[in-house]
Amino acid sequence: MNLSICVSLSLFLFFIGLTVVLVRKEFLFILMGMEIMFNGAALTAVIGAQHWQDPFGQVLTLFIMIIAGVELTVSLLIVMHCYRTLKISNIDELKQLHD
Amino acid sequence: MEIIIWNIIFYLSSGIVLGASIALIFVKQAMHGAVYLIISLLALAIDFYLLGSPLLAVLQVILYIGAIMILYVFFIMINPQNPNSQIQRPDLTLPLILLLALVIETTYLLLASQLNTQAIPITVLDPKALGIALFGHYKIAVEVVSSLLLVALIAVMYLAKPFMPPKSKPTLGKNK
Repeated sequence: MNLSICVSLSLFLFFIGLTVVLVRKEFLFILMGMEIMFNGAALTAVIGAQHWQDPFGQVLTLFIMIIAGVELTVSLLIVMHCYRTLKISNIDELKQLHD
Repeated sequence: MEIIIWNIIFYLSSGIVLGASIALIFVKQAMHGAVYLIISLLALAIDFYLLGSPLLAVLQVILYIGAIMILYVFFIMINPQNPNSQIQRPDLTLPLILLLALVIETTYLLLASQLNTQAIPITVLDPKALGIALFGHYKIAVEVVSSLLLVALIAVMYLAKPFMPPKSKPTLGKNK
């Protein structure tokens, strides 16, 4: 495994996450795509830690994991509000601000 | 010989990561998507281990799969799919054009930057160095992240209040 293959793997992972976010319309799948994008970024940090022989990249990955968890808990509750009170599960139906 | 085996495992798990992530674009049910995401994260943990950070591989399994994905699965189980919301085929031209432009740009950047194609010598970065960096140099960042966790806890408690059952009235006066 060399550096270019590892970097392109993380790049592909990010692109797949971006595709999921852009193509899918359900809330849950959009959140899953965001998780994939976070993982692509984390993989880049791990590769950097290995390349420069430095644990600081791993620290960055750890922070990415924690912040992804924080983001997911809050956004899942907002999605739950959309399900229960607005009775929608599709992002195109969020038109409350539309006049 | 050993290096070839590690390489084979690395490419296999990378393929599983990419395949399970691509499957998320096509699956219909949310639970299937959650299972595909769990497979992708597990294979990514193997990649983390092979790239020389064993602590992060373990934390990937514990934090992502043990905490976040279990949250996902429970969320899907307690929220049944809404049959009223129909899935219409979205308009895909603009996202695809944007993605294509992005792919072309990054491919050009990757080719122009001339990353070295020699194999990286993998050395294991031990968890001790990670802990020293975390609680020495990044002390303030750890405090900031912990206060972020506290803020998220308060936000979740506030947002979850409408789903709580109504409180029964205090019965202090009646028990006299």
